[in-house]
Amino acid sequence: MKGKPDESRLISFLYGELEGDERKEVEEYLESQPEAREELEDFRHARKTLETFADREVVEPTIIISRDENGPLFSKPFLRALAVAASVTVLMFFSWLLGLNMTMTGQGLYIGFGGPSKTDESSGTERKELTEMVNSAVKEMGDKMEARFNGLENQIGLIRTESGENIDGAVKKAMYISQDQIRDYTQQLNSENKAAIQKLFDMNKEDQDLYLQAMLNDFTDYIEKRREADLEMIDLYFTEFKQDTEVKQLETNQVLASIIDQVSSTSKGELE
Amino acid sequence: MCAETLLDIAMIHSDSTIEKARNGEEKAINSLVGLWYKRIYNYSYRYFLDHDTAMDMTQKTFISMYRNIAGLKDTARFKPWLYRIVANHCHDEDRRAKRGLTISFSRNTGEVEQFEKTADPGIGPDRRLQNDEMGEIVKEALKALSPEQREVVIMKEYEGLKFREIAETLEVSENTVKSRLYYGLNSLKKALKARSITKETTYYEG
Repeated sequence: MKGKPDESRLISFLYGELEGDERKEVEEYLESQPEAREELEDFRHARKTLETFADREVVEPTIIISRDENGPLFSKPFLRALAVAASVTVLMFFSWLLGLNMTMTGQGLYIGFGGPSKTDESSGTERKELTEMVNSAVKEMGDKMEARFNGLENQIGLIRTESGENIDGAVKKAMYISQDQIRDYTQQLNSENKAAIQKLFDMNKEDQDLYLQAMLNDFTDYIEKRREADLEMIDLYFTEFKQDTEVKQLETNQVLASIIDQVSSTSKGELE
Repeated sequence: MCAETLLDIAMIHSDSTIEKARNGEEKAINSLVGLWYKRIYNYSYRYFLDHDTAMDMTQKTFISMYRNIAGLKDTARFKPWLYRIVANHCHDEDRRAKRGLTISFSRNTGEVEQFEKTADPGIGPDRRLQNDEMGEIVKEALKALSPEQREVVIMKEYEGLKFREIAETLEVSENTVKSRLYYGLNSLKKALKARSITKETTYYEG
């Protein structure tokens, strides 16, 4: 008998991958070594236990794999920055061509085409006249707007009054009409209901008659069957009673016969 | 352990899909993801016993698959090739975790436990409860294995790989694979015995 098979061979045997002489050798070894057999059985049990750790269900995420049609070149951040820089350069060039200027003065930053305009004392007077013109225009505009608002307000008031009267009249009319309609409808409902209930009563009466008839028939059948059963029972009792009586008669005759025999034999003995 | 389902058959006969994926057909690549997603996820989950890490490993595996499938020479080697990718990602993650570079934001898996199902939905509640308890014990026992033993046990017992395929995946000899499996099962056996779970105390239907 060969020695203990190595782990590799035992595992191959456990998983049914040994054949022929190799398999036979391991089987013989296991037959002669209860401990080794026990170990193998423990391995089988451990494998069986592993089955209790079942697969987990998992939701596969939606993976859409598609290639970047533009190629890798344009995805690089460096080239993107380069494109932005090129755009800014072009913008500045065209700005210079068109004479765009940015000037910082005491009053703020000026951006425009050409330089900032210079102010002198004469412009102060013009400003005052301009201010007065603007004020009067604004005042005139304000007066016109006020008049117009007042006019609109009056119109709205008139419309509201008229609408209110119209609405009230329409509501009253609707209410009046509704009451008549409701009355007619109620009458119609009542007559319909009455006809339906009458029909229901008639139907019920017919059904009730039929049902009653059926019930009576069933009851009659039942009584008849019951009577037959009772008669059979009575007949049976009589038959049994008759049989019992005959048996008792027979027994009585036998007892009497035996008494007579006894008496006869006693009398005969006395006479002799 | 692995049931012969229509999915299994589809996966076995997906050679033409793999061929098309190798040629860059996006629809074929998406099909492969659909076919293998659950298997790769469950491999990763059994390795780390953590849902978020398993999802991470699965994503990385399929990204690697997408990037490298054009270099796959033999479509028949797709399965061990794919498992090699996920095994390598798992090893990398192990190393990262040991260096303390990963932070897990996953809560205790109470919430995602609802997605676990027992293998047989037809079993009764008592059996299901026993299976759930046993499942927890098995998880602890798997976690206690060394990474080398754990990956071999998972590949053989849960993923149904042949010894030759596991050897190819892990780039070791078949004898090494069997030896690791032996010691892995031995450790599992001891862990179960420590919990008084033996063949005498456990009843399996069927």
